[in-house]
Amino acid sequence: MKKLLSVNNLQVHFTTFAGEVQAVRGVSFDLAAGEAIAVVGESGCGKSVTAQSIMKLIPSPPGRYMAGEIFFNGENLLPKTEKEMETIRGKDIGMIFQDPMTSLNPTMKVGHQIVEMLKKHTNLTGEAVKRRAVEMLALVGLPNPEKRYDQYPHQFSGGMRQRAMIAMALACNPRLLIADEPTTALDVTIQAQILELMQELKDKLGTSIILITHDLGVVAGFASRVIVMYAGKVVESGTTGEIFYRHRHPYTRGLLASVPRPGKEIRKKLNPIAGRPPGLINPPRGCAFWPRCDRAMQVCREVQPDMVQLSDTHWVSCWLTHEFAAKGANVRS
Amino acid sequence: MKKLVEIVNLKKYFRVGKNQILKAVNDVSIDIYRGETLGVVGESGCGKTTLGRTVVRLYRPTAGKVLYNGLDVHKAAGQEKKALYRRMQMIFQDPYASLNPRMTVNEIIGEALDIHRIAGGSQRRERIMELLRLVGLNVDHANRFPHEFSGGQRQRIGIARALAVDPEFIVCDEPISALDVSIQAQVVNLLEELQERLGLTYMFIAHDLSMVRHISSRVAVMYLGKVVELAGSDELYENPLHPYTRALLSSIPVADPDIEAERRRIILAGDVPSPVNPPPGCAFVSRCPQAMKECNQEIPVFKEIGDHHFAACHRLG
Repeated sequence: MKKLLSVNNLQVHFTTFAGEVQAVRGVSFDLAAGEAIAVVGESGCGKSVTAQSIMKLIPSPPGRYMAGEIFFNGENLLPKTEKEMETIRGKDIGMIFQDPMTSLNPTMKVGHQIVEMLKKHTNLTGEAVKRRAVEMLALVGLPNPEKRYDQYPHQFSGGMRQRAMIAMALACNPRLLIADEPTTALDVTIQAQILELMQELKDKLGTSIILITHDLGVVAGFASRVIVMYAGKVVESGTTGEIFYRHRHPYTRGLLASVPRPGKEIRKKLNPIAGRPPGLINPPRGCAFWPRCDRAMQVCREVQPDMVQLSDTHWVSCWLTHEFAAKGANVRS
Repeated sequence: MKKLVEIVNLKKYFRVGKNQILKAVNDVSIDIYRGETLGVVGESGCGKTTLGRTVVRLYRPTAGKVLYNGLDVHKAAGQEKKALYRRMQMIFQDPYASLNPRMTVNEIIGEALDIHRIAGGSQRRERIMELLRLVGLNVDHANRFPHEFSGGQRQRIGIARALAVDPEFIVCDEPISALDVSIQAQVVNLLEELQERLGLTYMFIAHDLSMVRHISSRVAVMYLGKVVELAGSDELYENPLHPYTRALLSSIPVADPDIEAERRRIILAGDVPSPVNPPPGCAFVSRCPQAMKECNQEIPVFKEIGDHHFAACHRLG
């Protein structure tokens, strides 16, 4: 499959009063055309910063791109100017956020917001623009799209706002859709509606999707590949099957053991990860996970483990996979 | 098992405008047994939080009553009321909003001890230390302020505060939904351990349905101010009867790709209708895939359909 997006060794820092926060510390991954991948991790692991970097939405100051490349469609986005980015944002890359109100303008009718976008990025004019906007509202399953076109965001419910935002993000047929916790604020029945909608759009329009979430259940049903992030780094990545059934990193195992097992084992005692993630002003010298890891070795405190390839698609960064690590080090739950 | 809390035909309405009444809790009757965990689930706006708050007397009911050990919670006064507050406690959803930012942990937990004159002097200090240890916090955290703690730690402080008065019954209102996955599991484990050690009874309100199944012995499903189904938690999840429960359960994402690939979801159309002037008849009628004519006219009766399995639906029995 053709590579659409390629992130290489991305590093993003933020300057704060307390010091330099190393939010993203060398993240690399690829995305093929038409593929849906998920980025998972806890708050503060750098997943949203990574996503916003792809759109170059990190405010500077305080943020700074320290190193790395983001190739989209063969072009490196990081050196691009704000003006050049404006032709890409919304047109080639669409983004939806957890809180729709952050990206919908509360003072403008929903229809006009989509029209504004279409006017900027397409050659459509006059009636055709409006027709396309109504079409988009219908596509995302809003009842009475004609009426909704003339309404303000506050007249929409949470799920409908999310749909309106998706309509806006997809209006120009972007090749990549970045969804940053799109369903976290929604109820499960509405979440199911939105996820089904995104799946449908992916199949129908061939849009590639990066789904950022902390909900492992959402990941299991949606993505074909998963990237697990911890403390600003990718610790494990692989196909959904590899991550859920053959994971090798203790953090991935810990995340999965923190949610109740489906079916009969539901009452089994949860096995959470002790402690909490490290601060990123002074991240640990070795593996960032060692202070919480129940199998940490001396080497983990001193030296960062390399990314090791286990299969065509499965990568992990953990000393336990080293050939000299103690036997029985295979992590399986 | 012995009944600890009896909720009888409880109603809580809010006036939200001229001639507009929001029926947040609309005729709910549930018993809670000693030592059990009753889970309450439902979408936002279904009235689960209002129900919890009315049970512990944070709200006055519009009609109906809550009996605690046979005593009417909302009629109790004076010493009786004070004694009641020692038996019933609450843990709140937002660990940032529910702790006074100007008080130290010591003061937050000690306040309850002072009001109920449980311990003074060196006993008071010892009791606070004991509570901190009980919820897995360090004793030298006592002199710090809430902003110095993470979300999970704050929730532990909230739990210690609730436990300070030796309660029997705790309403946990979405205690984990503001926390990260790995921290959620820590807090749930703590709640389970405390229940075992202290023999607590919980009413556990949440919208995370798999966590509710994990922790609860029985589960009540609410929709638009009403309980639509109530059963033992395994029974409810394996054999849901009400069409809303079925749809709700089918929309929970399961953290297992093989199961996910096999599953058929029931996707409900539309959103929850407004609880202001709800539709006549069954509250769920506007989204129900199996609605019949009578669903529009008559409110279905909440009755026992299987063994200890209750539901309110015209299609059933």
